[in-house]
Amino acid sequence: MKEKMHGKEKEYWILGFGLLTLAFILYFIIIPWQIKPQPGELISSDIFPKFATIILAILGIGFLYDANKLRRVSRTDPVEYSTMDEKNAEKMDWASFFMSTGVLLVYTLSLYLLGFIISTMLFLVLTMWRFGVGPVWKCSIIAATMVLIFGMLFQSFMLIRLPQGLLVRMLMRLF
Amino acid sequence: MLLENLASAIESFFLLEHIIGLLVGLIIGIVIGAIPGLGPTVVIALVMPLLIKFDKILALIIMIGIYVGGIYGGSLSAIWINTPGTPAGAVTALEGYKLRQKGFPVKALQCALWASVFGHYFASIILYLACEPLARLSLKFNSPEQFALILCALTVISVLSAKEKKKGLAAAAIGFIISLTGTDPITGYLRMCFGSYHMRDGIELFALLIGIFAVSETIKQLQLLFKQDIKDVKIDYRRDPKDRLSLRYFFGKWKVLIRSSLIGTGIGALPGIGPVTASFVSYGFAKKNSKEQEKYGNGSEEAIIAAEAANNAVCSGALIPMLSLGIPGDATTAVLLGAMVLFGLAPGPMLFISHGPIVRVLFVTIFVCGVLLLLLGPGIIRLSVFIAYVKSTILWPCISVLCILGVYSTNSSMFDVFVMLLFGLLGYAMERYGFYASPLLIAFILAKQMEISLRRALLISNNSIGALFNRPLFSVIIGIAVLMLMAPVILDKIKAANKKKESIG
Repeated sequence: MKEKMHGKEKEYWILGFGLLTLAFILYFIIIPWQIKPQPGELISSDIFPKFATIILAILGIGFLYDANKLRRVSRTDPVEYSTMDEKNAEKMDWASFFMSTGVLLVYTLSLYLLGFIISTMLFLVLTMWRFGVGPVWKCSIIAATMVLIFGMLFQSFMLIRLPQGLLVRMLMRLF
Repeated sequence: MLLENLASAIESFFLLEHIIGLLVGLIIGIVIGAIPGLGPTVVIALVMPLLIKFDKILALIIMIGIYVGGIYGGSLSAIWINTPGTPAGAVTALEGYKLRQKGFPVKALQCALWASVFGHYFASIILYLACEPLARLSLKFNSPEQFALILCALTVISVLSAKEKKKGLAAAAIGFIISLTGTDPITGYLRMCFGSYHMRDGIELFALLIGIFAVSETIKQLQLLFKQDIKDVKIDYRRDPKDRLSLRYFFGKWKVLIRSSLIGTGIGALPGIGPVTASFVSYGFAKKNSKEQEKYGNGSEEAIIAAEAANNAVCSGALIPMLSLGIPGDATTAVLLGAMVLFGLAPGPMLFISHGPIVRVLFVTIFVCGVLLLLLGPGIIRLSVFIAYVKSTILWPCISVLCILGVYSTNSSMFDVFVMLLFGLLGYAMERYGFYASPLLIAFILAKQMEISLRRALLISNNSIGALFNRPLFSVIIGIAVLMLMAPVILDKIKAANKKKESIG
């Protein structure tokens, strides 16, 4: 029967393979492709990136070694293994993770398309309503106040032009 | 000489705008420091884009205010709601909350305030006395020694800042690689730009800073809000006339104060350890040497004094290597270092020669911070009961907007915003797997200087690494780095051998 890996051991395998893969891609693909040492250069420009990549690879091997050590202990001394293997306290909640990164990404994209005022207003109203701040009208008042504060802070105070939005600009050109 | 310089710095500092700036910085720092999840590192990263158009001295004064206020602010929520605003307030939460439960929150808050100011002043005096001589000493370093020093500092930071040494080193190596994008500092050729003109100057520091520190925390907090895991706390409190700290009791603890401040300054000056360790070490020492040991764990005033004096002394202590050698002591000083670089004030030995008066104004700022903290203290203590009314449901969506607009505003570039989101994800993943962000950030900031030093050193030695070891100082510093790297392994082996002996015995 296939043995199930526990928290720390699994983490070390992931980290070991992850770092080794990253180091391999960097050393053999990205660095030769993106850094072209020039003829006549005494100290090549790729020496330092390669140095950092080698360190990553060594650390990757180190993590694999630790993972393997944990595996060996798990077979020979289960009691000792239970003290060495700390499980992650919290399980990853992917749904809330995708929701939180999703709203940030959607807000950034809408900032590009709809501009600062519309997208920020929508983002704040929707998130605050979802988080239970109160009814939509209450969230709208808070959101409008925040949009006003941010607008004044960046546009009037710091003289920075906030994104107008691609769609808004196109509509303005049309009408 | 030191006093003459100080007099002129005092004269330069006392402008109305500087005092108002410092007050604003302190208040922002205290308020934000009291909000769990939003420490001074995140706040300084967030306000940096807003301050970029300010006069550089004023901007730095505000940032120092936020730094000092932020560390103190962490104790407020620790005492009221048992949730430290910053990790450094963990010990204060342990003892302060118990004292509040007994009906003495003001006493706990006064202990925290006075001890913070004491620790702050103690470390500031050492900072003022040690910084300039240390910088002058390091002026004797040439390229090989500079390379060795940065390598040594990075090793120390990586090994000491993370629970698992390999993770600290991996974070630093990733920071190195990220910093090497953009124009080669020696030849001027492009490296790892993937054909994008946005990458010509490398990764924007703001995008990395705000991504790694603020966006990763925002993702975490939004996640909790989506899961409806954050509960608002209500504080019910009526002041008892007996609830106050006597000056006699406070100064009677002078031994604890001095010992804790020394621990804080020392730990702060060592790169990579930070205020959390300082407060726990100081707490441990105080408990061991205390006459009132039974009170520890049940709401001890002495424990709060020890922890707060130590974690506030770390602030000024961490500025010693940052200002004199250009090596930040912790994550917040790494962010401050980034800010100074952006303002054209690259920290390090040359800073005292090229911008000596500005540095001295910063010293005065640090001194005045303590006075303002004391003056603001009674008001802060009275108002701190309202910290529980800051609603995370409104706060975190607004911080998300501030992160994105802040990064956008630096170059008016959406590319930087996407880079920031990417680093936010990286920061989130790093935290989840127990990697600390500070070695990555510090390596990112120091890598260019390290590379320049190494390549110049190799040019001097005709490409021979062996020849560099003929320089005694270079060899000594590299030796220390290797020792730091090997020390945990050797200690583990010794511990394992002792354990084996005991089990056989």
